[in-house]
Amino acid sequence: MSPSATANQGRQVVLATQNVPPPHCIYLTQADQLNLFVAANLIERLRVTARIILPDGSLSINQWDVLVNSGIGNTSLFQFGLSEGFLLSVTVTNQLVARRGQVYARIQLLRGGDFQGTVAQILSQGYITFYSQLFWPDFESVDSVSGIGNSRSITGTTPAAGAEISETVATGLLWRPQMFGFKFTTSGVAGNRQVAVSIDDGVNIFGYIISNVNCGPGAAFFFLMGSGFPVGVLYANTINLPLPADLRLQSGCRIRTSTGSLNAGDQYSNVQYLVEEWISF
Amino acid sequence: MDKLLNHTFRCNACRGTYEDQQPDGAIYFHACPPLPPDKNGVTAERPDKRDENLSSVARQGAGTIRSEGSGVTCLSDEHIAEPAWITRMKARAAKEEELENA
Repeated sequence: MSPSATANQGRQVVLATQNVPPPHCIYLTQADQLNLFVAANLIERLRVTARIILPDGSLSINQWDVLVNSGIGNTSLFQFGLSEGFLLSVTVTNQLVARRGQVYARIQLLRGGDFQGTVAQILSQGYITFYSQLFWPDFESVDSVSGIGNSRSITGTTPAAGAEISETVATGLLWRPQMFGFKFTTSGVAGNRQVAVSIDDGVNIFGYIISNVNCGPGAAFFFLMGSGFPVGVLYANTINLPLPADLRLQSGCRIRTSTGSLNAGDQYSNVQYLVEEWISF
Repeated sequence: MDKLLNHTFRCNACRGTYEDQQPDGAIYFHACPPLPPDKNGVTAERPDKRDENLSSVARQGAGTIRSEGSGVTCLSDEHIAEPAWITRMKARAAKEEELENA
């Protein structure tokens, strides 16, 4: 066997060791700012780290901790001053336990002295979790309503006796309802009640799901809604209703009951539902 | 995540009861259901409807809830006037207004 032609030929690539240009060409001046935009529906601590090569060739590591303290889904902006040099990398990590779908962030360079400065370059955007951070370079840009959202089990309002259930998609969120359950206890007043669930945009109803089971007086009924569920009695007074598959509801949309012959003494309770949730602007 | 102590509230408009914070720490935004349909089947919103959803998320800083309605009653602590996150948001908005006017 003859020796390989590539063996023992020595180094073919010569690497420069002096006056080496930085690998990423973002030159910063003191007029540039790093801007962090965050939309979160929980209280979260974030850490921004930027590595910069300064004009004297030294490496500067800058770190800023911020508290996203609204926790109510509205947006927060943070601005950080930079020194002259070449930006090497930026990371945004979280300090707590946000899940995907809860904290959406964008890190960008701004030119100008305040929040009204010109966006020079978006560095990275996406959801931040403990295991998934924002980073630049080699970033990916992820839209807030793409991919898997946050699975949330929500306990709704227990309405007064004789009132209907009504659950509203909160501002700044997108919901994909997966399950919706509630209990309906009828008073002793004679007559059948017919339970229906309507889905509206806050004003106009665009979906009706009507139970084919009448609810008689003086009894408790458990309703379970889910994608692919058949209409009908599952067991005793447990009744199935279907939910449209892949239903996406923007903020302001409502899921509510609409009950035929509802009596003033009838009581809805145990409102519990599961949604997949995204932050949506 | 930081958790507030959750409390049970009753809406003074619709008399519905709810907790202001979910077990996962997320805030619950109560909104009153519409009034029962009238004899013609027409459904209307309550004139004193409470809607705790934010009026907008498109701005920096504190927001406001859409409608106070007739307020709420805390069932778990009589000294509490409203959900803590709303009190905090109002305080933040007042501080921002003070800074803007300074």
